[in-house]
Amino acid sequence: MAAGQGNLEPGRHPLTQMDKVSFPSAPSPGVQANWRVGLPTFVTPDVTLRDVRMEDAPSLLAHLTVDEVSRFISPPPTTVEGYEGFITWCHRDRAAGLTACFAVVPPNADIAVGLFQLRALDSAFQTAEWGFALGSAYWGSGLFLASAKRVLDFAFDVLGVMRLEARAAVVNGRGNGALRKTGAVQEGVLRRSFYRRGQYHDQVLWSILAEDWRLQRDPQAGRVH
Amino acid sequence: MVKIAVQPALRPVTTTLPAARPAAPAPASQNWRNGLPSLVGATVTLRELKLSDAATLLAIMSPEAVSRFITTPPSTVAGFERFIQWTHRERAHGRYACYAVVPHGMSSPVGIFQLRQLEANFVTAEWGFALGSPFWGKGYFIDGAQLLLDFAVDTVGVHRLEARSAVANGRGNGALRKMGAVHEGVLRRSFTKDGRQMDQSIWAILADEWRQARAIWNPAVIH
Repeated sequence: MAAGQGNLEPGRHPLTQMDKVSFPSAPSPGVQANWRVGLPTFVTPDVTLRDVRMEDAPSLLAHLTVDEVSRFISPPPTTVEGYEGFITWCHRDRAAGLTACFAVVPPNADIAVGLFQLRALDSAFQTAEWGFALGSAYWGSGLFLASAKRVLDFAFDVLGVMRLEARAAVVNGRGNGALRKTGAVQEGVLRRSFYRRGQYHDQVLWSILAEDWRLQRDPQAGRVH
Repeated sequence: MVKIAVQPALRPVTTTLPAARPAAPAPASQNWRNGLPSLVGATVTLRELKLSDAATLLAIMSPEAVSRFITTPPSTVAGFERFIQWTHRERAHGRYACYAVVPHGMSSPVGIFQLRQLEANFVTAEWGFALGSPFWGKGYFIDGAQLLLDFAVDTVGVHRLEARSAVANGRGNGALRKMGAVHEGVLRRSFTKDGRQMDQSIWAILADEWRQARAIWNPAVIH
């Protein structure tokens, strides 16, 4: 399963392109900046999430550059070198505070079979967008949801995200179902907003707000009758 | 009336990850990167911003009526000069265009229109505008918006043009609706202004829709 219009192809138009000049806006205070040096590792019985590493490249190529995974996302790299370039880009933009790319490692394994990406939509990381791709062998295994929970905790608690968006092609039923399961709210349909294989697709726009995530995660925090 | 950031640093164009999305149809023309063509309408001309517009822009954008639904504009003439220089650099890179709205018979702008790419090659883009409140209700918006939409669709090659406007910004939303934009959704808490979080409407115009819609603005084609 995969969603997000994130492109797995590194570098020609880095995320920062509009962010270069202009009126400087200060980084938001109080947000922990340590993650820029290296992402934390989350180890749970169901999944380990950690910074993506160079040695993940062959495994990511095998798991993600296949049609059932990639058909609704921007074309992933087609070579190990391509993935290495992508991973280098992830590290560079992580150091710049613009993106966080987690590798999904199943229990009893040490190599990535999927990715979760977070990227800033504003200079303070208050609004962000996420995307994910998981090898099809792991669909239906619970790996997605276990990973998504850790990634969402990281986004809202560590990055200080207030609003997290996701986009998924309307025809991507599995990706949209996965997003709904995390508690994301469908806010609209962006007509013809995604170009893939010679065709424009409509995309569903989803979002999760920090306060909703906290309510959902900690039912005691705001009990609904 | 207004939308979008005067502040380029916010909401960078990023929806895309690292890179360009797959090569979609190429832009119609790239000459505008060397300098924006002036566009002449019935009541206004759209032309490139000049450094000497800075003081005028400061006067237009600072009042609460104009600024309350956009990201905080610069607060000094020097700040607007840096903004104008930034618009020229971004235009030269081919990812952004900012037009001054100059009514016929005047030489100073009364507002701006911005256009920026949301993905490589300007296939999808976002627009925004700000018009000084003394100049509301004179038809300048519609005239300028037509020129800008024609430019986006015919010259730049935009396929999908988005706009975001605070839900509370009735005038801005009305202006977008009037141009034929379709309301696609409400982005919850997507805009923070002076510590307050606001919801925004997202609007979009597709190129083929605009090609049909503009007929109604053109008396020669109307029935």
